[in-house]
Amino acid sequence: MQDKISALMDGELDPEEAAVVVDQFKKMDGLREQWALYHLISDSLGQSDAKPFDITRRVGARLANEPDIAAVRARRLSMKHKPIAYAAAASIAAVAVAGWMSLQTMQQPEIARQNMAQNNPAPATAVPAVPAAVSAPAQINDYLLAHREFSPSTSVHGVAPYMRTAAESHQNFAR
Amino acid sequence: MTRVALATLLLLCANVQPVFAQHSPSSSPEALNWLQKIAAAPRQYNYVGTFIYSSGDHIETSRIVHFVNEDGEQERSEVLDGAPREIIRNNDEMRCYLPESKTVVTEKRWLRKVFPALLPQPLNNLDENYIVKKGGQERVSDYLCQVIELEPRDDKRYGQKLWVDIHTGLLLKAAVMDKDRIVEQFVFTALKIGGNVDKELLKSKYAGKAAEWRTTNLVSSTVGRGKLGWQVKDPPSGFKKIIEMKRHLSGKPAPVGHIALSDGLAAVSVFIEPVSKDSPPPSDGLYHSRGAINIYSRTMADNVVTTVGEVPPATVMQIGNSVSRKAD
Repeated sequence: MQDKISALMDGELDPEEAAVVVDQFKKMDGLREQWALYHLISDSLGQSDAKPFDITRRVGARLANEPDIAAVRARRLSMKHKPIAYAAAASIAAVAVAGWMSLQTMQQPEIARQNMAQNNPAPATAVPAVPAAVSAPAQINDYLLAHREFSPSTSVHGVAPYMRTAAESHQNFAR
Repeated sequence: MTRVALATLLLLCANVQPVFAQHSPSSSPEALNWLQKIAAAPRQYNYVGTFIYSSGDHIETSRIVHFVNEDGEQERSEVLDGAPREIIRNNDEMRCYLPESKTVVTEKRWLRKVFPALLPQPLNNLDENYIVKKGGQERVSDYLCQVIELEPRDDKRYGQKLWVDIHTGLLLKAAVMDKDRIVEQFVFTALKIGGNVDKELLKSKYAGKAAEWRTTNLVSSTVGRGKLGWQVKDPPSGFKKIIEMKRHLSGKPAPVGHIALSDGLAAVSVFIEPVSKDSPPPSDGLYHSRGAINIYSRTMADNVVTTVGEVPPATVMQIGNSVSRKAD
């Protein structure tokens, strides 16, 4: 389904296929919200002066009516130049799972490091580092995840924190 | 006479501009094409390999099996050092099995796939902030690779260096660079590209047992309605807002404000939430996460502003410090 939506947004489906996807779309609330979000992002990049709220409503209205393939196609024209950095980042994710996974086991070493840090404030950076970062990971956890979603290059390398996040969020839930 | 002078002046102006432009060379189209190849490759080739991820004094080995067919990509990766971890990816759906704690972490990220196609801006943006250059050819894991460098145009962002298999476009090595220092990197140490993949290799070791494990769904988000009421007033050059919204994060009772900025490659997120009585905010200051991510936390009146990004410490601080309330 995701692929189809992606293809739809890229204008790669023929009208019949598109109609089917849009039809399925109408039945799924979650998807509709996401769809609205994508267009919101797209529009907030300067393609339109419309306010986010209007866009959401407009997309909703569009979905409520017959599938407007023309509109999809029109949008496609404005996206001729695909942002390759983003695209590259997205698909490198496969390999990047490396980092994704790399922090799952890091809880213990991390704590050790934090304790060390408490004794000698981090020497590595010139910028004042917070010595006792003990409370940081647990709190910042979800932020890292939410951030990653919008980050082109975290898909490439910065996925590492994501993995750590996964570990910690599990810790939180375990409590 | 005046006219001639004016004409000369105009002529000079017209000439001067390109001269200035030459001072900051633009990205090579060929190098940009390589980035496109990198993007396409995982959707075209099977591969099985072992790679190393390293950051600071941390190093870890993983194994990966990647399979493509008309339904998309399937992948199984497994960390070979430390506690066992396994990640099964089916297109943009991930399941991470943590057998020691009997936990499954799931995440659906089809956003990642659809979102990129919607951003018209970053390509130009990329060249504004990085010089994308084609480097030499180097051998990685017995494959001849093209080196592509993304050199930052200022010190507000990290650079990147990519090693791309010449024949397939698969990324075999990548490094985040802070000038000459490697912030983090991964590299394949053994790799077989193409050929058939035994479907058994894609199956989770744990899926059978995991039915009774605890499942954690990582992120749920909603679209913000109306304005956030916050802004990043003075971001470092090249960083532009890509979105603002309110979102629900697991474990947080109230929605959190989220502003995302990007320079075309690196991204920075600003999260704003009221100080909670139950969980005191982290003390103000800079935190370092593994790899390229830096985190800066700051309390503003009754709100905690947390800035997160794969950028140098000074950049997260600058962005965090320029967050302010937006006058209506």
